[in-house]
Amino acid sequence: MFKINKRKIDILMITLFLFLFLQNSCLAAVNVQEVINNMQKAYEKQMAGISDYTVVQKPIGGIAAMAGETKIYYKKAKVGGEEIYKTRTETEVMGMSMVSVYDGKYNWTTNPMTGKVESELAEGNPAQFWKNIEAAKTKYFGEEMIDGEKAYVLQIDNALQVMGSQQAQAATMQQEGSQEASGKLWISSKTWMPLRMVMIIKASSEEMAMNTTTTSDFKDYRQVGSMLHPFQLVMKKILRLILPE
Amino acid sequence: MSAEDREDAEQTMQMMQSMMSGMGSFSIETTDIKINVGLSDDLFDGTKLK
Repeated sequence: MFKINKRKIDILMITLFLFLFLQNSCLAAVNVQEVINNMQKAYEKQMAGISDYTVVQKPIGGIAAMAGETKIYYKKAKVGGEEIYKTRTETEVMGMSMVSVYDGKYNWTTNPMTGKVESELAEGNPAQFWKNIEAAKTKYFGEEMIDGEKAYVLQIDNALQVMGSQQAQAATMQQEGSQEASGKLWISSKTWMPLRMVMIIKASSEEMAMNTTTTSDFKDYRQVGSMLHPFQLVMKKILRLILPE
Repeated sequence: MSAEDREDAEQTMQMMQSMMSGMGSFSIETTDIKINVGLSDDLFDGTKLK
């Protein structure tokens, strides 16, 4: 009698566990997709009447101080049936002009050493970064407050693809050997704009391992026409070098 | 690697860590934004880069 009851209880517990586990997984998937959908809706509403725009930026401190003023031009275009913003970035690094173009398919740059124009297939979309977030590679991580604003936290598996273009070279220091990246994204529950990004890159070679954590805070959002834009981007990098045992 | 060499290497690495963390920390301020000025298509033509 006791054995039968115990078996029944075990089956009930397993069923309950599976039910809760599956329900949680489904809820998480809905939440990620919901966040992406809301980011898309907010972006499309803001950008509906904007056919082109130009952003002028000035770096302050760190390695960025070696660069001068940066101008980023955006122009709406249809590429492969999809509405995107083509992008042109002009900057000056130690007196040398650098220009790069994203045409919706390729990234074009002039190689500063050879002077030759080079192109490579673009991995992400620099202007519409929510398009780079794939629900299947993203997990919902709950809610957190950032500077008094409620944010939804997403954990991103394909962090380099999603955040690489946003965090630029500061976060994507390449080196020989293996490299893996993961990241988290904090999205405002009010505006659906990013408030914070954290990208962790773990790289290792025979000589040493290097862990880099780059935190980007998007601050001072202001309304420009119909568009919301962060007027300050604060990046903080923490680097840890580890010798093999 | 001897214990002494390892200690030296770790001290050097700590210096590098501080230096590189400092260099990688900065801010980017937006100073101007212009909307709908009619930018030319040529600006976004990669084949026209020089």
